Formats: sequence, C-alpha cells, structure tokens
Amino acid sequence: MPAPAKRDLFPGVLELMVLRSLELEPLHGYALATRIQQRSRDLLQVEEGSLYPALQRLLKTGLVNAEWTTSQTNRRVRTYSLTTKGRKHLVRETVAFGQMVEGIQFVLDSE
Amino acid sequence: MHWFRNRVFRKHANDDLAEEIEQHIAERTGSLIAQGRDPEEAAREARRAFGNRTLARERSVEVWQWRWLENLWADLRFALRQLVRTPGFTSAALLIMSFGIGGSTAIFSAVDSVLLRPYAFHDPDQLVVWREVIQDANQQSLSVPDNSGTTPI
Repeated sequence: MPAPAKRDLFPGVLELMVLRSLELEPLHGYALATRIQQRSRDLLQVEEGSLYPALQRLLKTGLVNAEWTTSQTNRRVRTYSLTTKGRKHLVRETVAFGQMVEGIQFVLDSE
Repeated sequence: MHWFRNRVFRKHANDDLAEEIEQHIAERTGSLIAQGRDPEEAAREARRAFGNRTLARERSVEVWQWRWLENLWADLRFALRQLVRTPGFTSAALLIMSFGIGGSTAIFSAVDSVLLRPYAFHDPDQLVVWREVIQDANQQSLSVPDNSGTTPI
C-alpha cells in the first residue's frame, strides 16, 4: 500500500463521500470504508476513527437513516441509507465542492 | 428530565456504537482471513487499522451532546444580549418579578407557619376557642331594638 502523507480532508468532504456512496445502496460502516477506499483507487484511506463521528453527524442532521440489519456475512450491523434530505444535500454540496476545487486549481495553476 | 433523558440516550448510543465498531473490526478480520491470513494476525491487523476505538466512540457520542450544550449556551447569550439592549424592559421585568416572588414567598411563609406546620407550642390539641353564645338574642339585627319606650300612634 502506498503511504501518502497523512493529511486531513477538507471539512465536510468525508460526509459528502459517505452520502455519495450511500446514494447507490445502503451500506454499513465497514462496507462504507472499503467502498470509499476502492472508489478513490486506493488514494484515500478512510480513517475509521473519523468515519463514525461523521456518520453520527449525518444522522443528527437527518441526512441519513440507520437501521440494524444482518450483513451478507451474517453479522448484525447498522446499515445507513440516504434520506430525501440527504439526497438534496448531496446534489447541492457536490456542485459547491466542484466549484471550490476548480477555484483552488485555478489558483494553483496560475502563473 | 432533560439531563436524565440525555444520560439514558448516551448510554444507549454508546452501546450501539461499541457494537457497531466491534462488528466493523470483526468484518475486516473475516475478510483478511478470507484473503488467507492467519486468524490471530488478521485480528491484530484489523484492530490496528481501526485505531483508537474508545476515542472513535467518544467522538461519535460527543456529536450529539455538544450540539445540545452549545445550543443552550447560545440561547443564554442571546437572551442576555437582548436584556442588555433594552434596560427599561429589563428593569421593569426584574421589578415585577421581584414583587411577584417576594409576595408569593411572604404569603406562603404565613400559610406554612399557620396552616401547614404544627403549632410551635406544647399540646396544641388542648388549644380551645372561647366564645360566648347569647340565647334568644335577635339574630336578624345587630343594633339594639329601638321600640322599648314609645308606642307608635
């Protein structure tokens, strides 16, 4: 595994990636962590210590729902799913985040 | 009540999170074993990958309690600022409240010592009320009848 410098994400980006991953299907914590890592082509490694607080924040703001279910590996897991509010939030924030990244890119690329 | 509910909730949330985190680690251990790793080594690796479990749990629970405390604090500060901004209203409110509370306290102290508490002397059951009952008195009128001397024409 490559060892990229450990740096914090922008605030709110982990939440955004969680919402995006849940948009396709409900997932539990471990599946979310591996999903995000795979989707980032192993460039990002979700720090699990921050994944659970992020999930709680999303629960608290009503962007996701949680439900105890049984996983494919037959374990009792808490599965998270996107709410309607979460779906709207995801669309809005994805646009805003795209603009931010674009802006940063402009500044970094300017001569 | 709020405090109590918060505590119960916190306990519940804490248990849920503990279970969730243990499952997370079990899941990773399972997938490492499926990749052909030694079970003991897999368990160690999964725990290492997760990092500090207690910290993760505490920070997750904090998400809920902090917001509540912060809201309360913000409300208090807002109320205080509003009061400072309108000194006339504040002093009127304070005056009315002090009169109200003072009056109620005074009345309650009287009721408490006269009606609620036992009398502050020995054998209160021997206390008597002494009054005089005049038989055959005119019950209708309190004034002395005026027709004693003269007869009406």
